[in-house]
Amino acid sequence: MTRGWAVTRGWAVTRGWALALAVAFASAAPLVAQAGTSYTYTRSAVKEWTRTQDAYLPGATLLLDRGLLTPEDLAIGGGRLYVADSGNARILVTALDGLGTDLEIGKGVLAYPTGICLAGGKLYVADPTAKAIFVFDAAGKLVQTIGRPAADAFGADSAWNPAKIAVDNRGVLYVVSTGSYDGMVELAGDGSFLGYFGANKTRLSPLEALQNLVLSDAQLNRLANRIPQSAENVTIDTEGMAWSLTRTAEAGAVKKHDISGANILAASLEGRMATEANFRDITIGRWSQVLCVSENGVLYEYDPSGRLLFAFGGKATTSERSGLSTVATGLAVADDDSLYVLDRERSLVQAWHPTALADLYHSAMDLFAKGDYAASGELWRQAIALSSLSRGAHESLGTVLYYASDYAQAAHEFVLAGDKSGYSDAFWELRDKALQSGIVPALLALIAFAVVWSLFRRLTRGRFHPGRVPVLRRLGRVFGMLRHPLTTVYDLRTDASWGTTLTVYALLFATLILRQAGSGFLWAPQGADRQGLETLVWIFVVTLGLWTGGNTLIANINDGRGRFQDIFAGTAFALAPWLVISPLATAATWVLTRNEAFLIDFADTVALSWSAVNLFVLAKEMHDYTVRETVRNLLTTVFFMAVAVFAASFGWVFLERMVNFFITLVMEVGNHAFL
Amino acid sequence: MRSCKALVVLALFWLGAGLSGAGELASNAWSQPETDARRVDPARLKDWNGYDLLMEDQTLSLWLRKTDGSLRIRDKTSGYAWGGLANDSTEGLNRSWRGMATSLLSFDYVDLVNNEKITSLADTSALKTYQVSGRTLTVKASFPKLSIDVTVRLTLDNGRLKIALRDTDIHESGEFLVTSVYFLPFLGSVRGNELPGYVLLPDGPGALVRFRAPTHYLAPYRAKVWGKDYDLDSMYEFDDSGSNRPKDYRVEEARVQAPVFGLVHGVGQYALFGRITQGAPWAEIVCSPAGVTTDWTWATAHFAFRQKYLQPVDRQGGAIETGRHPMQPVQAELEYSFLHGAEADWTGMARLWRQQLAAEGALPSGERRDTASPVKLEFVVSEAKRGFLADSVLDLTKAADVTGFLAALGPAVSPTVVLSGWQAQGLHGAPLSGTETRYSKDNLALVASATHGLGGRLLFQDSSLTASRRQVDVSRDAARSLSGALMVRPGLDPSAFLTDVVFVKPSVAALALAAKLPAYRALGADGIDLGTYTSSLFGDRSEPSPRQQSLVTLTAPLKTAGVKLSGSSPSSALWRWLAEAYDQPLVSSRFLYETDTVPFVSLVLKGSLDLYAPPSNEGWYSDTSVLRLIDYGLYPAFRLTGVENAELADTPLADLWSTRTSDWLTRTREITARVGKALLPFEGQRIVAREVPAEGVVKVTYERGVLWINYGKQAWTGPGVVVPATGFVVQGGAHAQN
Repeated sequence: MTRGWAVTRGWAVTRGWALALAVAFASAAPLVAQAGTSYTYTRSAVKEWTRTQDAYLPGATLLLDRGLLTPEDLAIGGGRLYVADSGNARILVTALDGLGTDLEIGKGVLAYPTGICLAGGKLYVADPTAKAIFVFDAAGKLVQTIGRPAADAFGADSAWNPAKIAVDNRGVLYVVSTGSYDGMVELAGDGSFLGYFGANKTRLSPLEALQNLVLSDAQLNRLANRIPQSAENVTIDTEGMAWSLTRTAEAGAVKKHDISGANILAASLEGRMATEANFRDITIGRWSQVLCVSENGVLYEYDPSGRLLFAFGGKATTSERSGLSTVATGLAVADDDSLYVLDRERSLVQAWHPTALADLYHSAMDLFAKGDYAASGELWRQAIALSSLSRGAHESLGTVLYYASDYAQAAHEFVLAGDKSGYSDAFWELRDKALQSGIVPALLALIAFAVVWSLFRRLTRGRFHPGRVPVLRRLGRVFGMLRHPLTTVYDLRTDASWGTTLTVYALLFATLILRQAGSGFLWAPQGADRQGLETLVWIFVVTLGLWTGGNTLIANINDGRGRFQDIFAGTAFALAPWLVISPLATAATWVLTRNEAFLIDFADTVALSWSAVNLFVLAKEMHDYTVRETVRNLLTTVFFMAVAVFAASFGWVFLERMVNFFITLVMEVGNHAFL
Repeated sequence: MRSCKALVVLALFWLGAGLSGAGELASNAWSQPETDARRVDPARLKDWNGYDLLMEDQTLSLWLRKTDGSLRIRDKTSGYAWGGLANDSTEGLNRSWRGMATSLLSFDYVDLVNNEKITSLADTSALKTYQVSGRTLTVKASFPKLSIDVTVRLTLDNGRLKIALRDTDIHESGEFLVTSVYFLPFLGSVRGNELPGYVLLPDGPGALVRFRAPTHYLAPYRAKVWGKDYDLDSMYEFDDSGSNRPKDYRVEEARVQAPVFGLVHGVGQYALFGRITQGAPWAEIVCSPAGVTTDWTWATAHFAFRQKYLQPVDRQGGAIETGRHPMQPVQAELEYSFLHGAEADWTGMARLWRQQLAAEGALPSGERRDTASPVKLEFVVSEAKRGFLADSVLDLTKAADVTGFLAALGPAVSPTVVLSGWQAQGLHGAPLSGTETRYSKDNLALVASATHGLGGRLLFQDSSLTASRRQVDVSRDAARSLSGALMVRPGLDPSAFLTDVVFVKPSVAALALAAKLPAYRALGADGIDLGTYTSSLFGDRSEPSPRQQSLVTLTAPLKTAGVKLSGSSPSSALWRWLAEAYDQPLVSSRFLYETDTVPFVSLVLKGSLDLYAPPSNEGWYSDTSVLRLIDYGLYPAFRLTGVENAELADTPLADLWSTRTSDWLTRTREITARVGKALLPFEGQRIVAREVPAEGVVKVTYERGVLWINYGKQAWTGPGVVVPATGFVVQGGAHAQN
């Protein structure tokens, strides 16, 4: 008996040590002892993913002793569990607790069943090896066999490998046929071909667009990536709508189809859904909750709009524990909301049972769908008390409050959800109310301010001349740059001061900080968009350094007259439009809604464009260039900046590799010496 | 009308929360009723040819087959004999496994190129001598091919069999090195489900592995006593799932609090109980269910004399697995006790071990007698918060929040108030030695007064064995693993704040605790919550201090604390120093081969110290969870703050999802009252027995009464009792309640 300590003197190098592949248990937060074997995650306003209370807990492990062989699908009907025991070419029917006498269906008929569906008291079985769909009655008797569609419209060369199947309440069959890229096959109850349904589309990358131009049709046909992916699975919801899964990391992994097959799930279309690239099965519960399982055993639950509620379960990597799967291939939901996950590799079914939290979510969703917003709101409040970081719960409560015209609370909930769209609507209502009630006092305050300002100007006339104070005179060039850029640049050349320049830079930096940390909620960066002070400093200093240094260097080579201090000082004042406009725009973020977002964008565009023009003027005047020379100087400076960034990155990588090499060398010597 | 509808729906949730699915109670999260009534043949061990009686005492006789070192023990009081295999037919076992299955000693060894192999006394080339002296059998074995000599001693001691091997009993004169040792690994092993019964594992609260037909499992159960040793063990588990959801999704496997295991051959018939009496820091409990490698289910203790670990070879994560070459100063000793009749089940083992621990003074003096319902309330006072311009300290729970919460709970509770993050710099910002309080003296006095006014206790949390990077000088204070790496476990989310966990040198942690003890006394603390100090144990190469030495170091300040101590999921070695134990596990790791979760640790500890569950607001709030607390004899706990959890963003506590006092006041009151109603009548009493008469129904027998618990959704009627659905019934105790 030889067991693995190490293959040879331990020099079997294990790369898995790397953090990228590692799972660290327990964060710095105090230990949280969960009842399950995997944490339940949800989305929060501030973090992409956050842990929450258990939504489902793993229950019993079923059918471990039934000798299942590579089972591919399961379904629930009439309180019984139907398992496509593919390797044994049968459908195994058993009680939901896995106990009692089993019933075998399709023995001797089926070849390798991979998809099953219960509808209208019948069992539909998709068998790609037999290339047929078999229909059994409640007693397990074969009543219909549907073979390859004979219709011309199906296509002579189209693949017919029925792998998954769903049947809607009209008796229409939706068949996932492996290798069929035209979409799912839609069949009438008698097996006649109705058409293709819900075909996936391909997206052209720039390279593919180029290939389209230069390659022949034959060459293009050989490119596999031009073929749209076939669907992975399909199911029917409580309203008879078809939902499909596609194995993709891009938007559209989960789709809800209208009668024409078009995707009508907004979250999916807009790429807002949190999905997995290897979803294997999808099912819809009695509350219209959408449940998906990935091959890794990760379960996602969505509300009917595609908003993620919970993610739980996972892969059994180093040990086998209840609730963790090796290769999950099937998912079914029972009438009591319990879930059943089929593990093909372990040949078992894992039950999951909803907790009070999941029950709360389901009932709140149901009451909301029925229009009982007050009762729904109360349940959402209870759900939030249990899981206060859940974006979905706050969004739902915010929506309920919005419908109840409690806009202030609704806005608060939307802030907690990080839902800018909802907040914008609620804020619009609040602002409207405020405007209606406060317009007269606001106008009076404005008039009073104008009177006071006028009096102040009269009283101080002739006594106060800012231009006589050198510091104020120099700082005043900020406004001078707005009105008379040429004159101001000339003044800067002859009368610049380091102190004033640095003050302007400090003010510029302050506007960045203000924008980052002082914007209203609708414009405040969130999550990964938030930059720390350190990052801002780096960006500011590096950009400024590269610009001033690069421009001076380029100008020196090309007979420019500007000195470093000229460019440095001039740049500060050239950015005057941003300095003046940006704080006003930041202030406006507190009173504008998304409907007026263009105003902020417009202000920023004006500020940046104006600053760019100033920089052009600065370079031209400081270096005494023609327009052509100025353009060349600016383009060369930008090129220099790009090259400098690239060179620094390259140098950093090289340095790091070199350091790593020497450290590895030292470690290796150490290991040889001491091990 | 609408709010009435919502209230009705809510009431239904809380009444029925938890169990909704068919067969849920049949899962391995619960204890199962005994349904296998098969009788075990007392003469099941066949083939006694070659076995000689070597020694005996009043209750045990020891038989040995000298050719292969195969041992059999006959319990004279029951007549039942224990041995490795029932007969010499060993089909399905190769030579190595056959040797391991039959002989009393097997050991792993490595050669020059670190190839690991196993051998045993059954090795025909081994030269063995057996010497009996009194009630001690000394076995000397020489393995000429390996140039290894070992001497193992077996002693009969008042009905117990002890088997011991010290590091000095191993002599290596060649290139082969002993790495680890198994004593009697197959003692009591069962092939498939040929016998009724199970293996008891100390997995969390306790778990059973019932004997079943061989099923293909991936790996056996192997768990280090008292948890992982980060001196050697990886801080990470590999995850290649490639999911978009965060990688740290798995709940960590339950720790082993107790260095014990057991096997039952027929419940109420015969059982053996194994207990590691020496060398626990080097040991792991191993159980191989039928189907992993062989068709036998076996369990034993495994002692590592040399440990393997990952030695980094570069900075990119490349590492080699290698071993500690100098042998560790291990004194391995495993003790077997043999039970029969009513004692022959896991509860009998718990009772036996409780007696043994009490006799050794390893249990605390006794549970505190409360007249109001005990509850642990941890208030997080303050926490470090990342700011845009500068970091700050965020006040999470004001003194008024604490006093207000306590006042609202009223005199029906007896609270243990734990202040965490009580230092001026917040929970993850305060240096280990910091004693400056976030609360003013007056506020602290108010909190103490409110606590004492309810008859409660005020504790300060001091979990100095783990820290954030801000709390310590990492290069100076962090322990180093055997590979030489600093013991720092990086948080997986790079955007998170202060989530790296630094494992502090045990000497530094112990010193910091000792230095702060006078300050705690000055603050008027009734006790200290040591947190993970009582549940983490690791060696530190920088000292150098192997795990055993760390245990000595960490225990030193506890002996002179002068205040009451408590801690989270404490290891059995520290039980004697504690007045309260927190975060007691409620569920096992739930490996697929485990069939039941049982409150083995509760059975041992209940009546000796106050036991508390993990925070109810972090998952244990449903009615069935509360029933589980009652079943396991645990009082509830809550971790609370005075702020909305969204405010914890940008703090290391950002993952806490529900802690606001106003959200939990009502449920704290309800849960505490419900648990108190069930457990107060049994304050200070030990659990005598625990049975599962039907699925989901539990009968817990205390010294002076019985507690019935029904997890199911239907009322259960038993002899003289009707237990309501999702409810409990108290019979006897201080006074009967319903």
